[in-house]
Amino acid sequence: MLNLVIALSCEARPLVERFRLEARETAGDYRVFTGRRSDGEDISLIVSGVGKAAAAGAVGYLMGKLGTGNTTSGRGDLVTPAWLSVGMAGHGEREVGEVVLAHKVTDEATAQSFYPSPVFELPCVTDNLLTVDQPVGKDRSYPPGTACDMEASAVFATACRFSPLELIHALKIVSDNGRSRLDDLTPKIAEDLVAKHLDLIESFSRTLLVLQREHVQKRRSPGDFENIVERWKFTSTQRHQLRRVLSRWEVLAQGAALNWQSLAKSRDAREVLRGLEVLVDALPLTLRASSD
Amino acid sequence: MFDFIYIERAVEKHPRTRDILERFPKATRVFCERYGEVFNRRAQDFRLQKKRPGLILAEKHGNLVLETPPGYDVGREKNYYFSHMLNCVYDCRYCFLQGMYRSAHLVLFVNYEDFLGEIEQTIADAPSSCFFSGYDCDSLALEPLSGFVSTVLPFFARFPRALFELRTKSTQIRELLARESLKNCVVAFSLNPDRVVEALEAGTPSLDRRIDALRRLAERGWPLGLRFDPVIYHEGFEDTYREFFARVFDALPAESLHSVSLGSFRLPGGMFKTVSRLYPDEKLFAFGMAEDGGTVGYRRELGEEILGFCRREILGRVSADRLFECQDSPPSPRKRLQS
Repeated sequence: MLNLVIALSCEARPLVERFRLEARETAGDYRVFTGRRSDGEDISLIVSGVGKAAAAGAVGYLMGKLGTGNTTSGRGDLVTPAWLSVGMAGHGEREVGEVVLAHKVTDEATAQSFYPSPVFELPCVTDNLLTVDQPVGKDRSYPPGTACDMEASAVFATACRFSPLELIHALKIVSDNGRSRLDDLTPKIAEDLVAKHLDLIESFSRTLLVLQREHVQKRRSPGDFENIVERWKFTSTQRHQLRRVLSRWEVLAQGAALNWQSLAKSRDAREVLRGLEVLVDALPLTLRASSD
Repeated sequence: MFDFIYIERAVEKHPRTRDILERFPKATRVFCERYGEVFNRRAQDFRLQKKRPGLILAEKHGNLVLETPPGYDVGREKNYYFSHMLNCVYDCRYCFLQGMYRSAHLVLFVNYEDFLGEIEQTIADAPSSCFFSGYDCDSLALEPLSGFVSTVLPFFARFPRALFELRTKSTQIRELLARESLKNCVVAFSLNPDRVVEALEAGTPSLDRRIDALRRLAERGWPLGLRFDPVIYHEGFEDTYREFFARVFDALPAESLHSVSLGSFRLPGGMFKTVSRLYPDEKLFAFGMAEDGGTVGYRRELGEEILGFCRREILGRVSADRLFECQDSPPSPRKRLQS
């Protein structure tokens, strides 16, 4: 699952088209679009409005709306999406239309910084990103070597409560740089700037989705879990123990099916767990050398 | 090697920082105030970060030299460790570092002289102490970049009563071969059979290369440490380890061996939980474990079986006074981070 957080409708429009997203709902100032890629991956896009409060609220809103998956734990565990903040940024040195990935995101008001880990081939150059409360380029000059936006730090501060920093990134397109004034930026220009980088954004989205799958795969529930908890009554602790022992079976048995029906005469969950532990403890640990 | 180098502002102009940055002209430099902003923050995925860790250049403040956990020694009464680096370039599945830190970035503390100052104070109180490096990192793996050995060896040459151990799996021994050996510096290699290296020690030099490095160090007169810790229980371990011990001991002159240590796989309970969550498909964590006194290790009968076997094999080749059995467990992450 990938969630795109975009400040303005004009910035969102090319992405909605490229990802074939459909309008899902409008809630107050927020507009949400969702879609499913051909590989089954879900993509959501929220138009947040301008500023940190709007962006933080948008992340929370998306998680509340979309974040609870139908997990086998039965506890309604939150899913862990990837997040991408896309939009315009000012930059004193870069050319208008250049795209940058943030390697450090700082909230100017609090001085809090986030360091998203780029664990992939970089899709473009990287830069510092400063999230400001008032636009730069009008009454104040651009800070050196730094892109400036008005949302990213809030996206990071909120999204990192749900996802690791490796899955949260900000991709910004330079819209003004002192030579080209912020006042000259029209919705049409912003839309065109995003449209110009759709291939890059789509490719980077795929990268994030691969990482996100890798992250959540670690937490999947083992096979047979549902069948067994349907048959006997397990406490919450016993469910945890069951998940652990079934996972051990899957890892050690190397594809062999677990004949849990052999435990059919067990009177309760405790006996089932004991029986499973005996089965799993009997499995050997094999280490295969490359020459085997 | 590193796409991103994070630099604490305070060490930006440190000569060691400059040297390292010169070696990586293409790396992107990102500045931070304290390394803790980047390293070990919550909301990091160690496994994803391990794909492409960054390098963090920082300064270590306070508690630079710490007592080792009980049982972590090679015969000296007072034992200390210090960590000029946190984390390791290798990716050994049994390593406690995966459970210790949320971050896979490598931290290099460039203020070596402060470490040496604190070691000197410790030696003043207890001249025969042993100092271990390579507890939170591999002592030699980043040597060409860190220049750690060339700083620390002349220091320990001044204190012949103290003992210093470099612990490693790396074959970066050029600096050691270029120097006169020190009788009070043990170069200790962690060793395991090929089968274990291939299955569980990603990115490390092969056993052959490690043995070759040991042999060359022995020729130059360096005292050697053999660290069989952890030995890994698996089907047919007797054949694997019998052949392995024969290969290792036959390749090295007995008089070069300072000490041999032996321990089975074990982790503090909390760390075991963390790493088994990180790698749920890892057989090592699924097999035969039990918790005893806060440490997760092999069930008693399995642990005794493999340790007993290895002990007999080793004692057939070295005297008992040179064998040290380790059943220590690293301190909890909270305690470590507080220090």
